[in-house]
Amino acid sequence: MRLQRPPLKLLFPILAISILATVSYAVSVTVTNNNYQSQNGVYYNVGTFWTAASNGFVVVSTTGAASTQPCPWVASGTCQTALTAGNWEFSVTLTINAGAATSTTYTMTVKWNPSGSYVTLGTLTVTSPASITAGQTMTFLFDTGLTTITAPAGITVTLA
Amino acid sequence: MKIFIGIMLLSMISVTAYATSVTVTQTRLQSNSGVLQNIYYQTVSGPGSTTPSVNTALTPPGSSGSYSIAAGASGYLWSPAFSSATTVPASRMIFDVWAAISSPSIGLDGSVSAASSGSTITLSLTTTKSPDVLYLSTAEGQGVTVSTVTSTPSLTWTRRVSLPFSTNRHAETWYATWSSSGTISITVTLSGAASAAGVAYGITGANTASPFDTNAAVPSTASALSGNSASVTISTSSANDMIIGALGVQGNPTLSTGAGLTLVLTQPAGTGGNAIEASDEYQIVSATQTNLVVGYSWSGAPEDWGIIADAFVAATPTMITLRTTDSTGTLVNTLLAATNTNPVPATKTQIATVFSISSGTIPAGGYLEVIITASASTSVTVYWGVGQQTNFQVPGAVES
Repeated sequence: MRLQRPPLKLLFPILAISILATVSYAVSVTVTNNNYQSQNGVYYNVGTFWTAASNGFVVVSTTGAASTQPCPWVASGTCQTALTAGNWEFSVTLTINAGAATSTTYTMTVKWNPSGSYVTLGTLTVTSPASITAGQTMTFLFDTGLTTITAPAGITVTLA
Repeated sequence: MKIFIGIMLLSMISVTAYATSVTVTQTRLQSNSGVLQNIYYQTVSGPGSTTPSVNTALTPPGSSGSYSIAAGASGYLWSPAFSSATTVPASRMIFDVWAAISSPSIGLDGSVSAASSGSTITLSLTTTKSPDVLYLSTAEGQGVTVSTVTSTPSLTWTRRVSLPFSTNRHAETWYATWSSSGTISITVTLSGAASAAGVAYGITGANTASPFDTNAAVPSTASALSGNSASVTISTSSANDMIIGALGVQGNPTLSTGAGLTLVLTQPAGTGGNAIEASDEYQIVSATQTNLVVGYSWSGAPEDWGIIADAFVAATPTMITLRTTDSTGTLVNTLLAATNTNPVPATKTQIATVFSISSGTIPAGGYLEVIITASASTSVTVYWGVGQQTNFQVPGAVES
């Protein structure tokens, strides 16, 4: 049996598809697993250039207004949601590492599961400094809106 | 067909050779079994027991209370028993306690001054708290220095600084620790007769075992021939220090303390060319200091001066220990043994401290145990329950 040569009107679409495929595929495909790291019962996904650490829950001692968003990066400074005295707040210290992007705004999202499923506890935004000084820290405070917490609480902190 | 196959091969090669990058990010939570933020609330009164006596819960209590831990004694907080063996990861512990101590933080506890034109200065100091560090500063002229300091009751007096200033004048500081309180007679013996002034005072809440800030810049001194002000800078390594300024100055000028400093006492001695004056001032700080200015100023004629700045550290803070034990309370691992460096005031205050802890295991039926040890000089009152929810937070498996 002899195969027939495809007609030209079929060859042109094949050629066109091949060219499009050339543009849309990749020379390298990177697969990254962003595993959350756990510390103090809290999972962090903050990338390579930042380090987060939980300061746990403490009761708000003094009512305070929310910080204007985005918070500028201030070494040893604080960025917070509106805080109500008597509520429990969750505190995270963020450390900036060498190589972090400058003058870039990031959103920190904290989720927790006080009732079983994870819900957003709060979000805060921060703009990285124009010049990176590795090791500088800022503290982020999230009012839980609750005056009592029944442990355990699962918490995730994401910076993106 | 040959052409068709050729086109397909060319396309495949092109796909490999020319392409933009594509990044696939897969984000997933690691298994979270057994790693959660546990909050263990204090639920009952009493310093607790050295053997398992559960007095915390994962649910905040609906009642409240308080208890006292005597000076040098310990209190114990036990978690509920763990139904199965588990591991506490190397991580952080938050100790969040509502507490007060029996005496105020570091501060002044009595003061006295005296002058002499002979070879001794006698001072009678009355204090109300114990233990104290006693501090003595002197200014003497005519080439005289302090030979010895003695006291009744007898204490061991140690020279801290001897600073020559002006022509044949000296400013000196001495100290001793006193485990009691009341009235003490202090005798300063000079190397000869001269116009001399002394100021003595008690310092409560200081670390009597190691009274001074360990910064290399402590103590610091400065002096000058003539001037209408005296100043020296001091840097400290501890957060809760009592900063001292001890001045010796020619003449008997009317002094003004430096900014932020409070006068202890000023004592003039002698007249005319033999006039000299000793004065002490202090400031209590709540953070480490870098080049804090300690000084005085005066109006009128310029005078020669010498000034000594010193820094006392607050008493040893409360010790916090976190351990895991087996079902009988026998130690398995010590995860933390540290001092709580946050100041504990005399009124009820929430003190939240974050500690780094090492990992440890809890066998089935075992416990987490927190030990609070009060300093040797002060008792600690711990409050718990509604509105004062003393707790500690440790990651780990949930106990049954």
